[in-house]
Amino acid sequence: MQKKFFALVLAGVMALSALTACGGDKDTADETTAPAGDAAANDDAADAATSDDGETFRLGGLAPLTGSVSVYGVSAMNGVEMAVEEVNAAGGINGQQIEFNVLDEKGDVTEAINAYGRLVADHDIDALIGDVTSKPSISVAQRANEDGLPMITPTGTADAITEQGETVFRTCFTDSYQGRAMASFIAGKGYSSAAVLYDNSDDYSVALYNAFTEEAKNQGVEITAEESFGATDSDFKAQLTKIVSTNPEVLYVPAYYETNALILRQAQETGFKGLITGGDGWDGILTQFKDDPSGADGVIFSNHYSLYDEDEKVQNFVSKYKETYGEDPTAFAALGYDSVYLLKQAVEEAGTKDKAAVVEALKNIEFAGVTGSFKFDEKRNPIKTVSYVVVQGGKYELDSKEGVTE
Amino acid sequence: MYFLVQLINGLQIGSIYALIALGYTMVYGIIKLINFAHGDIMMVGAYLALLLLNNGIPIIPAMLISMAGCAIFGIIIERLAYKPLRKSSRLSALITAIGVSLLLQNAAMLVFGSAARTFPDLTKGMPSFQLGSNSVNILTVISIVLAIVVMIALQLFVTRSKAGTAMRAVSEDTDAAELMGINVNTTISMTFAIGSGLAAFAAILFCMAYPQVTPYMGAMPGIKAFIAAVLGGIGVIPGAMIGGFILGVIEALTKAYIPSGYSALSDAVVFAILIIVLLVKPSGLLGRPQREKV
Repeated sequence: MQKKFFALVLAGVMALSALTACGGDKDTADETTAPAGDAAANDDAADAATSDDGETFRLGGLAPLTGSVSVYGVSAMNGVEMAVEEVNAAGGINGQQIEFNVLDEKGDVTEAINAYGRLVADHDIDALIGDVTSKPSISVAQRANEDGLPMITPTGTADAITEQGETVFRTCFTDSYQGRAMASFIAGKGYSSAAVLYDNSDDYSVALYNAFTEEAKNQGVEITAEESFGATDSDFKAQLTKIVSTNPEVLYVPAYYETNALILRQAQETGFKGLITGGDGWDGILTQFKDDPSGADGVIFSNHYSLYDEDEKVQNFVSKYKETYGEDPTAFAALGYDSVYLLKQAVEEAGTKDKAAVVEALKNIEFAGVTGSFKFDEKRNPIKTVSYVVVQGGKYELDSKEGVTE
Repeated sequence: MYFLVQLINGLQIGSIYALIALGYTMVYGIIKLINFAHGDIMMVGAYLALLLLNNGIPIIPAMLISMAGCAIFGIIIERLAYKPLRKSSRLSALITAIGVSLLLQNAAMLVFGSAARTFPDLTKGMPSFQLGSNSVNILTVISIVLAIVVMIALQLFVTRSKAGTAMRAVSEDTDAAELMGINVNTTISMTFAIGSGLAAFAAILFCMAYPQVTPYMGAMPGIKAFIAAVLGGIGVIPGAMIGGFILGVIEALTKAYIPSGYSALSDAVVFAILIIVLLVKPSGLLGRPQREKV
């Protein structure tokens, strides 16, 4: 009898675990039309269901809405959604309302490919905005290029993404561009030595590290130590102790903000007194210092835009975003927002949503958005400015904004 | 000086490995189960402590409550998931353990979300001392000392107390122990309780050093601690302690002395050393060779 009871409980536990698994899955499997869950977007979805005759512009979105990089995905898609609503309210693209479907890929390459397949098969999308992080973006870009589908990654910075083919564009600058930019920034500020601590299992981190060290050496900055760590590490003390003993003026940490928070604290603990710098992965670092806002003071990182840019376009975007989502927009949100307007302008210049025509229009576009004005180079990467953001008193301040040097 | 600082770094992470490894080794010793959910119990302990600290409970009571909570949690898991399978093959129990591990991770993600929570920075306001060009926080030394004190207490409990003797008896021969009037179920529950409590203790030391709590935080330390337990000889309590410290120190020193451009290889070096140790002594540093019973 007792045995039977425990068997039942065990079955219960297993059923529960199956449920949790489904619970996790559900977010991915179901199309979340508008994750912000507002009425306007739901209406659009309802409209779309009734009019399936090509009178809507079907826009696909791909982003990690759950999982360890979900912060990036959610904010990028918030930006996209806000732009979609604005465009729809203003009459759509060429008179067509945008029907926007975003699928969650959890930051995983396999999930991203599957979700892309569903977007094409179930929604017959006219263009894709996504993916958000680099690794899945590369795989998706390959597919989009095979399908001839215009794809704009708002935030995928890996050089390899747009190398996948003619139909792939991006709104952000590339990893190598960003790494070089930070090296010339610190050289310009008169620093003469730097150490690097990077994640050797992450393409983004490795690309920034390579570009940074190469450019730093070119500019006469001595690299005193090049240390690395793995994706799941949380102990960086050995590497940091080694770095501190080589006495660099600057520490460059091209990683994502959850890891950066740990590195920052351990760097302070091991006695590092110099300047800590990094790439756009630091955007969001203050979420890790809520109870101690000055804990990240003095960090400088390269970014796509700054909240404190006095440009009117930026300030309008920032205040509207705050109103809609109740928080400051990250660069990811700004890039997502720009991506929609970039696509809108291309479709309008093409005069049709024909995929090949949109791709051609994108290649020759001259776009001015929140994250700057740009044209695409021959590799379909935007030529734009880099903002250097300094963390001060729990805020991201704009240190300086520099144009393209090449 | 540099060597000393790196040694302290190694001892700190090593003490955490050792505390988790104790849970692995005690459970293995008594029911021959590799409890892969053990690292995740540490994660539960970390969330528990975080919740208590965020509600204004000071660190020492928070630590004790979290340890007690995890001990109870460990007993519940054993009763629900492992006890029904005690008589079935060891493989089924192992798979169940992996299932429990995934269940805990996903449940934590559901309840707390996947984003990392920040653990209050306890090093703030604590003095640190300078060793050469490097500085070491006093809390680092305190946590190493605390870990060693707890391990000595455990060793005394297992070798000197009646309950500890019962534990060793059950681990040696369950049936004979039962015939001698030892309550096997209670003893096994106690083992899980102690192991899980130690995991919660490790969680707090871990969060003091690396102040971040995520649903997956237990996975990597769990695996490292399992390796430490095997290195020391799984089932042998002092072995787990020594294994944990050795693994931590090897890790830190490899990272410390590997040439700068090759630091990506440091994990490979660590595991190569472990493989060599196990080739020379397959049953672990303190393990006795298994004799086949005929």
